[in-house]
Amino acid sequence: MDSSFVKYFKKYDRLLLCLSIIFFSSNVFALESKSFTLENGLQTVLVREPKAPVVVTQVWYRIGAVDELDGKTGLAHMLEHMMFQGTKKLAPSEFSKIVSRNGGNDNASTAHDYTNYWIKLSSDRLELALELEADRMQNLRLQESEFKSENLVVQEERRSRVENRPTARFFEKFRKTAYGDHPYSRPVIGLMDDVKGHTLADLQNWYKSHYAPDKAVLVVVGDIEFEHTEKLVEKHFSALKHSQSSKRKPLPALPVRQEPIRFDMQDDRATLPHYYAGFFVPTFMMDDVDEAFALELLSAILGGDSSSRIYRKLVVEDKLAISAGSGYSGLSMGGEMFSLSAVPGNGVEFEQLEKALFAQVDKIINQPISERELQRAKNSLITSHLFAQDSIDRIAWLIGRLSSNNSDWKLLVEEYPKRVQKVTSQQIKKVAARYLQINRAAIGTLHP
Amino acid sequence: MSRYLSLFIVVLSLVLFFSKPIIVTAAWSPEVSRFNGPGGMQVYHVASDANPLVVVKLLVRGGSGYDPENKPGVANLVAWMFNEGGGDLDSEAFQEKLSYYGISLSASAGSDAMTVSMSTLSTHLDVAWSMMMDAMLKPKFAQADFDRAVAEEIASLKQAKEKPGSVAADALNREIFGNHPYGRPAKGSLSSISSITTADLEKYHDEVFRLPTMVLAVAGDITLKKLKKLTNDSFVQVNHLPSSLTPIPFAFTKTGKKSQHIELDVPQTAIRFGGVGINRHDPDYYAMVVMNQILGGGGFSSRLTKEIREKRGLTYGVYSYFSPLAAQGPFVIGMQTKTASVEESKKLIRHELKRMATQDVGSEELEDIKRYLTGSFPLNLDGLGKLAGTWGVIGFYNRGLDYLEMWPNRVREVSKKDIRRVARRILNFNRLHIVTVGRTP
Repeated sequence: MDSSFVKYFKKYDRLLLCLSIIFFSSNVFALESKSFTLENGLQTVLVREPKAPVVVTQVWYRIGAVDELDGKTGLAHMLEHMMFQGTKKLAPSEFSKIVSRNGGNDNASTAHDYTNYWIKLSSDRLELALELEADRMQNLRLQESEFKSENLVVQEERRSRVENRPTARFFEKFRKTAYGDHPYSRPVIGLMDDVKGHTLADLQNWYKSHYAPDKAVLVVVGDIEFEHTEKLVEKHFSALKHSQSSKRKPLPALPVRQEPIRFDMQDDRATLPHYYAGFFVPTFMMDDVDEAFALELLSAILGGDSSSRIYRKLVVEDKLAISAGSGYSGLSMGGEMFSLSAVPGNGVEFEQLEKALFAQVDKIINQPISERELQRAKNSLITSHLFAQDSIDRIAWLIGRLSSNNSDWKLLVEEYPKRVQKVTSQQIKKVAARYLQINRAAIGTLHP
Repeated sequence: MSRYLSLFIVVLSLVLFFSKPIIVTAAWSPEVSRFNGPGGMQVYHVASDANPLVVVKLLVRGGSGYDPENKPGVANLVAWMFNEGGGDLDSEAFQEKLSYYGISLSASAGSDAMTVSMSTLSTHLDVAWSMMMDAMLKPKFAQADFDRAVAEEIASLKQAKEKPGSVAADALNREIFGNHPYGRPAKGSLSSISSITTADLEKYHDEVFRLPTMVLAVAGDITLKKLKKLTNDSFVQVNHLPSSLTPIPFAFTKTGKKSQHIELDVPQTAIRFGGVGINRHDPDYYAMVVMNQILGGGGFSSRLTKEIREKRGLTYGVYSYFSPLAAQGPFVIGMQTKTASVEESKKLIRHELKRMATQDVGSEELEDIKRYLTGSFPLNLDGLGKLAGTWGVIGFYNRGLDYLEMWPNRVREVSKKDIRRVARRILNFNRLHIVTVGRTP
């Protein structure tokens, strides 16, 4: 075996030691990382993960759909598409051609909170990726002809993702009902009329105001050497200028309700009924991360897998639902919806389903959670977390996601197992009682 | 929202392991060892102790291509129920134990193979391994669990009818393969599923999980010695006799309608072109890899992407792919576009097919594609799941231990003439079917 394949730094040593004593009393494991900020404000995180001769670069811009204006939804995403359409140096579409010619892949994504770009290639081509990203951070050339056809592409993307899909159309409208005037109510891809109305000037303003080193985070993970990589980052990014525009506007608070808000949609094109209840909850991106950890476990116990309470009771025992579960990602910067959802079985009314779902919430609040059940939820979260570490893309993604929110990425990468392990059933009951109240919920039903 | 459609890359991972590049350079290669387990089964060991994790892939001849003729969907249900109990544990206890130890265990039915996937922390490998063996040797198939599986699959078949892409894919498959096993719906139909019983599942499970065609690939934090011991101790209990299931026939007797439109009230139409492609052992395999990449392969500005997406903005994603199976698998081109652009898009696809079959590709174009194919190899092997999956497929289709090493050279050897030859053969209009699903313009 080649020596580069032997781990220079055994990040799991302590973890393994603990595993052999008590199940998952894991403490910490550390990535080999280095962080620094260039004078122009570019925040950079490097992680050495030499198990394969591959590297991924991700550039996270602190800009997303929440920063758009009503009537101009979809602009962040439209610009993401245009970031591949030429710079002062590169012809339209040449960006991806160069990456491909060098055996690499690239793509990008836009969400409410961020816009993210990545390139993955053989680690000996790292400099190329950095050069390309630095170039389009400041030298993008937005042209009418490319914009016209790319705008049509985005319209087709919207048809594929939303208009062709009954459940997606339902969720878009449900989201609007739940979030009201909050920026999270907007569809990231944009409303069709808004997308059709984008102009080149809109994009130029957007790019000029939001694309700059001090508004971005660069993450590099893979088979790299720190000193060399740091030099390359400086070489390609340090000449870029700090932005002139003001700081990002803080998000307003999520709406608080005294009674549930309901949204019912009938759709002839839908084939299955859907029930969805959403509750606004805090996330790992906010001040009290203890609550976020408790919510993560609450979701695992309530509806995380086929051993979870909702699945066992609603799907297996009472046969009220074809599928049922809960959802929580914990990664939105301004709070998000914790969800309970189900597809009712034949002849089952939504009312009956709702009762059964909330009975499970009551049970969490009012009856004991067994040690075994709590530990099972913890084990399954921690194992998934460790498997995610096998992917350099996933490591880079978590680091970028948290850093672009100015949160400490170590919380969800290195400290995650320890923090999950510490959560008590009292904390879980507390967040369930505090947030999963029906009078605070937004409830949506889709009727075929 | 992303810039590129990437769903098909995930869906077709088995295909793309091979339509994508794989190089084992001298500078980087996790050590791979091959040995024979009980009953002639093949075992691959990929050493990688970077993380305390183990991933197992077990492939065996089976899958939807071996469904009983009048009951498509049996293989899919057997796979669905693979983790629904085993040994002394019923479904609930089995699932609880998997979850408690953080073990992931499941099965999936492909066209040629049933694949069992297991992943675990290396500390729990013994527990995970014995649960995998229990699921295989002593499955439960309890009626209540079976009913739940059927209910969920029926719901998913119903929901698939909302999606023009799924409707088009099913229809195209029928037209390409007719009565051949590849032409049957892999997940069954609403009527076939209702006729399946637990007895059908038991019979199929018993016929499929046999040693002679089994391939086990294990990657991660496990020594070769440990793997040999685990394999020899446990697989000796698996049935040694060859399966009596009829092998997939090589011949195709029927070809369906040239062109059909299925009405569905959606704003965007799914367009599919498709025909019979090549099998895994076809001498033109490498020419096909390169030709497909130029025409509509992922991760690059293919000709179809350039003409249909970049120049004209007619679609979010257009792609081509081929599945080199035990017998000739499908070759497919797919895209979605608004109703008004369907005819124009079909014309553009036809034009590109003809161009590929009648004109040589450009020298620079060919060189760029080869550089992409050979250069992006390590990207496909940078995780345990990818390593175990790749070696499992290599073993299943008997591609040899040097397969990855030879891959780049064979891609480099493909000439313009080879590409035209394979294009003339596969992109022949007389052999292609066209399906559209959407509104009538």
